[in-house]
Amino acid sequence: MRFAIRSLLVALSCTLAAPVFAQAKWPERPIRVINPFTPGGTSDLLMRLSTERVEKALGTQLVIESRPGAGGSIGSAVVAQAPADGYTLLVTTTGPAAIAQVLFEKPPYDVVKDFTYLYMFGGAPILVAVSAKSPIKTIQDFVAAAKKSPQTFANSGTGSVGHLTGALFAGEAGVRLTHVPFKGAPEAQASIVSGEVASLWNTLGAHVGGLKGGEIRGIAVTSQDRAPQFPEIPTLRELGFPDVVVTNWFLIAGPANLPQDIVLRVNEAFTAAGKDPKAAAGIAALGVQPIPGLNLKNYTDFIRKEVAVWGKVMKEHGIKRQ
Amino acid sequence: MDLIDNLWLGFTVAVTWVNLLFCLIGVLVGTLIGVLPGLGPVTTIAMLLPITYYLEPVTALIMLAGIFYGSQYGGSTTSILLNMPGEASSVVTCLDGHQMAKNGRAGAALAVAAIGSFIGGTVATLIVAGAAIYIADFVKTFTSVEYFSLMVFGLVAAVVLASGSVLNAIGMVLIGLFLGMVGTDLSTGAQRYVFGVPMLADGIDFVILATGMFGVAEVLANLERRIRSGQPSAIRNVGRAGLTRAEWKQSAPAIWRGTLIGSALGVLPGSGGMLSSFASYTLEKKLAKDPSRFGKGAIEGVAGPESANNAGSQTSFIPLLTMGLPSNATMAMMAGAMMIHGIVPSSKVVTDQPELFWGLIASMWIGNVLLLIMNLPLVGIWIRILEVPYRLLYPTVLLLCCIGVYSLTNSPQSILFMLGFGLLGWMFMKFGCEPAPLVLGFVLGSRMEENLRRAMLVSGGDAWVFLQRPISLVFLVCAALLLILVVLPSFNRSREALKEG
Repeated sequence: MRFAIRSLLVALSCTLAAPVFAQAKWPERPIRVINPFTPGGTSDLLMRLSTERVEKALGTQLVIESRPGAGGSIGSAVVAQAPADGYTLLVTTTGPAAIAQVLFEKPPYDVVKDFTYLYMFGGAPILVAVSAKSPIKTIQDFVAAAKKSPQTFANSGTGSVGHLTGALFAGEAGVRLTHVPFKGAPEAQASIVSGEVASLWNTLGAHVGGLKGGEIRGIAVTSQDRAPQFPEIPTLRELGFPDVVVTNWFLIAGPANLPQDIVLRVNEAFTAAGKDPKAAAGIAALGVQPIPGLNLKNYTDFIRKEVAVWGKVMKEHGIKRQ
Repeated sequence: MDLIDNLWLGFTVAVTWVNLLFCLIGVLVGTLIGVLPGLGPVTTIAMLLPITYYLEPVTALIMLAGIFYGSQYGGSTTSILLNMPGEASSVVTCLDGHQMAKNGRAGAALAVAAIGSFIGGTVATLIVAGAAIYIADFVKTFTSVEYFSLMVFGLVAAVVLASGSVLNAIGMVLIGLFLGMVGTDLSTGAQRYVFGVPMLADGIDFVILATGMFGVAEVLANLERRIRSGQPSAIRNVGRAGLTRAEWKQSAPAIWRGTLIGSALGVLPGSGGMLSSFASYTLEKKLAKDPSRFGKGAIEGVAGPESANNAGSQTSFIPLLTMGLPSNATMAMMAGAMMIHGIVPSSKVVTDQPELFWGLIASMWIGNVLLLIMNLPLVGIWIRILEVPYRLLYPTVLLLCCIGVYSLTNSPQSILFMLGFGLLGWMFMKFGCEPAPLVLGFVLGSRMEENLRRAMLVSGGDAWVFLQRPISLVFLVCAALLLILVVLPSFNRSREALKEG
């Protein structure tokens, strides 16, 4: 009987908590943040690091929900279709927020028209890595191996930045690479450690542990300059591939037409979190660096420009739509 | 000895007032998550996450880990009492656990689940302490090929675990595979069997399917029986809480075998935990002198899988602790809690932060003791739910099902889907088709497909890889043997029937 009483209490509290009257003052209930990759990837870790401060600033809880698949476009589509009430947000990256538009034959959403962009964490380079046990020590070794037989490369899914970076590099180096998609960074890393896949082309953040622990060997990064925490890993630019300079951007987005006051509050909350010393140190450890000059006014323009950049990459390298 | 020194270090960390307190909070919250449907771990942990910002990293990890294995512990209660599985691994507990409750042995089922979980958890914790690094090396050799073959084995096991006709079980597995395909293709984003219904684009949620097929269908069947016979209640005899001597004798070996299976399979990220409880059930049924008792309230069918499930939930920490790879949302929160304190989760944590690693392991053992102390006395209270007249109990069960499903998706549509699956489950019951194989096919289907496609992509379309890799070969041979074992008796029976006819 106690169980029944307790269940009724739970039921009652649920009904009471449900918002009967639409947003008199936002937020009155927890906010769902969709992470379109598996838990433990860079986007997920960025959210985990910011959550505490953002919750404090907004006065409600954030519930991070993983909806992986199709390079992040499945989870992003959920948010594109959600009501614009500020209770469903998205942590997104260049893959689902720009590449999806030009890579998929029928994109499940319009990256410019279907989203409101609320905050930019910054950008991180793509890491090129192999298993620590691999005979490949440098990018030249890798190119030589790929000239003999096509090499495989793993990352967080079809249409992720790592996927197109690999394709871009294959074009520049004149080699063939076979893309093996995963749903998130931890699985992709495990696949090169097991020796199943020859190389990893994925955003640096989630692989910092693998590099520090010595299971994987970084042979290049795609940033303009070397990553501060891994000065020993050269950039592809200095290795003779000046056109393979790629950054994966991390943003917070919501459905289109979010009310302006919600946009401002979310932006303020995440900005405050980014300034918190503990969170900022963690974000920097993931290799995510803020970029100056971007703000609420030009996020959408930025996305538009990224779509154009990747559209051009696809055209120039003859990468087919999927 | 190193291990003893390390464990000593661990206990000096775990046995402080603060760490004991947060261990208790963790397992308590975990138990609540497990027992109350509609209180999902992700939402609940999200509520507690902000605290971790202020805690010492080891304290934060102790609490988060406690929630995780505590919820695995508590999940058996509603399965046994109300036939409501909260997650895939407790589907197995429903099979014989709820039958035991119907036979008036609910107390024994709950007690053996708690004791089995304790033994499983304790032994697995020792395994993590002593062999985490070696086990991690083994896991590192797993590729898509091995995962695919393991899942083939899992599906064959699903056929074994059905107590009725083999043909029906195979049919149910196939329906499960089909239902698992509904939704968006994971690698290309193409929509399959969606028919323009937005909710289906995301696939069918496991909780909706399982709550309907088990919880709702059970209520329907009970009501039907009641109308037909005019009997007032589904379960009248509540029975005693303890185990009889015979039950002890049957459960003890099942608990040990379940613990071993769970410890081994739990390490594999993704479906390991769930496969372990299915595998343990299959093994017990195959080893039993009288397999026909299974599905009718065999205590080994509760003891084995529950031990396996909890042992698996301890060893599933190995990838995070030894490689820095989180395999689910709770583990990702633990990774986040480490990073906020400036610790990057990696294989270096064991050597660089020994107090963190060993403190967490020691706390798991303490957590398991706390869970046992908390759960055993509760058994007497839980079974009294069954004394509630059914006319009051069934609306409560239906209400709980609705809350659970609604809180998950916030959409009334999902409740309609749940009721639809309830009707379907009731119809299957009428045809003598059991829902458990369907559920396993449903859960394994998409993962199996993903691994098959990846294995084919890497091998360049060469299907022989499944036989060339030794671990994969072992799984496939086991699957084949199991299949022969299942098909033979029914084959013989039908031949005998032919002869007689």
